[in-house]
Amino acid sequence: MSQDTWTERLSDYLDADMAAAERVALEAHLQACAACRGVLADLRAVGEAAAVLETPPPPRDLWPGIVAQIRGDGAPVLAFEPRRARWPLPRLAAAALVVVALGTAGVWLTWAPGPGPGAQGTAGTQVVRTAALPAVEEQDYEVALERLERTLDARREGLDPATVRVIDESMAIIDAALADAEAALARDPASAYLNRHYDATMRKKIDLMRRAADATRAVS
Amino acid sequence: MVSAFVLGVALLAAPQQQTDTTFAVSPGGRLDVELMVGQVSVESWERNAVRVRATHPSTTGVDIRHSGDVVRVDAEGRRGPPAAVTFVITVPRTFGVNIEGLSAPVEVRNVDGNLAVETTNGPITVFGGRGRLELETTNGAITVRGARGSVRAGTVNQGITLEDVEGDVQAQAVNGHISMQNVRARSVDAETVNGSVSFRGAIQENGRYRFSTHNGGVTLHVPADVSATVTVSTENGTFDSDFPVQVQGRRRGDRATFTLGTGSARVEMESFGGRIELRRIGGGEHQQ
Repeated sequence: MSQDTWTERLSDYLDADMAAAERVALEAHLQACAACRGVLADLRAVGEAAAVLETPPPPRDLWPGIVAQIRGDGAPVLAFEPRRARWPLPRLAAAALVVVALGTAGVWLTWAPGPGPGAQGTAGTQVVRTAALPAVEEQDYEVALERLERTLDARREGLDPATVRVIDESMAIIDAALADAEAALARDPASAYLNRHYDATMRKKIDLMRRAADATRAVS
Repeated sequence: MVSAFVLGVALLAAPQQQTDTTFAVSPGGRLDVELMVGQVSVESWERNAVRVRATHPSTTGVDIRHSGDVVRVDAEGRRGPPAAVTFVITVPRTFGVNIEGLSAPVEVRNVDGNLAVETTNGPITVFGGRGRLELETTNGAITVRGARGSVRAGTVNQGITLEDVEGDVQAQAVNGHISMQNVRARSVDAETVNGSVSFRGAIQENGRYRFSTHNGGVTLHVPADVSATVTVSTENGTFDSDFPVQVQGRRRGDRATFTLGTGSARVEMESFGGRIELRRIGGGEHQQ
């Protein structure tokens, strides 16, 4: 398993949500990987900070509707247990949990937005605001991108035009996706999904540039 | 311009040569092929021998080296870079195969050893086989049918199609769809940027499945008795399900999780702005 994959499993490791064999393998990896030990320490700090937060009361505009449905058909309300933030990467994060209520037709889901200042969750939810974590990954991306861009610029003429076109078009697609993700993150910086999506898309960009650099080496 | 045209015609008119050689090998060996331009087809047989057939112009030679368990095949230009060569290579079924190409479509049939293919321009097509598949291309589709081993497939431009595959799957694309039909895997990680992701197959107990795209939809067809903890994430897309799950007051951001059956498997469905669908195979399937 690659370091990136182990990093994504650290939250589950902290939550004891891991098969025994995988836990043993992860602990062996941690002994050798300072980067993952650092991420684990950050996640522990986030969890400890979240644990002292109080569970807020449900907002009035949502709970009565759910209660009415319960009284109407007797179906129980199924709420997610409050959980600590589980982020695969050390980025700025806050958790919003989902309240699930059983109605006559089945299970109702309520999307929960990322919490703003003073946000309150619904019953059974815990709004967790975590401290901003250092953007280590962002710096790594910038360094890697800069290095790859220099390599590509120097060897671009060695590639055939069709390959250059494919790489340029694909880079534009990825950059557009990154711009979408950045705009969404500007509106909702605490979104776990958006943070992870941004990181995954950025890794794709680096992977594409590496592949392009490899292609230039193949023809040189 | 005229001189380039004349040169091109002269090259095209260069007489094609045929190379055809067969030699004995041990069954558990490996074939390494390097090809800048051309086409590579690899198939298997029950003999402990390797047969190399090549069609190439006289300006390009075929180099075949056999040392121990490894057979190396490549093309060398006699005057400048090699011209296009078509390889058809037959190996023992249990052979491993490595192919590196620049502008070279690759097709491999019924090779049970581990297979690694890396090319820049050209599709990769694999039929059958029981080994680990690692397939990478920049500009070309990847197709795998009937494989019984793990698949790691990556392409930039064009999509990935997996049919009747048994084994863990990792599929990555940038500008292309990822389609997985009749896939049986304990672990699936499928991600594209511009394209849809679709999956039809079993969700195994304690399995881990992730389907993600930025521009495009995610559609899963799973058995009615699936047991999974499903997480759906989207920024401004939609979610629809054949299972008794309904979305109320959908708003932007983050994710929602629900449980089907015992919830033993973990399924993540992500689309930044597209339609996410969870469909039931068999009764109750959504009719459009």
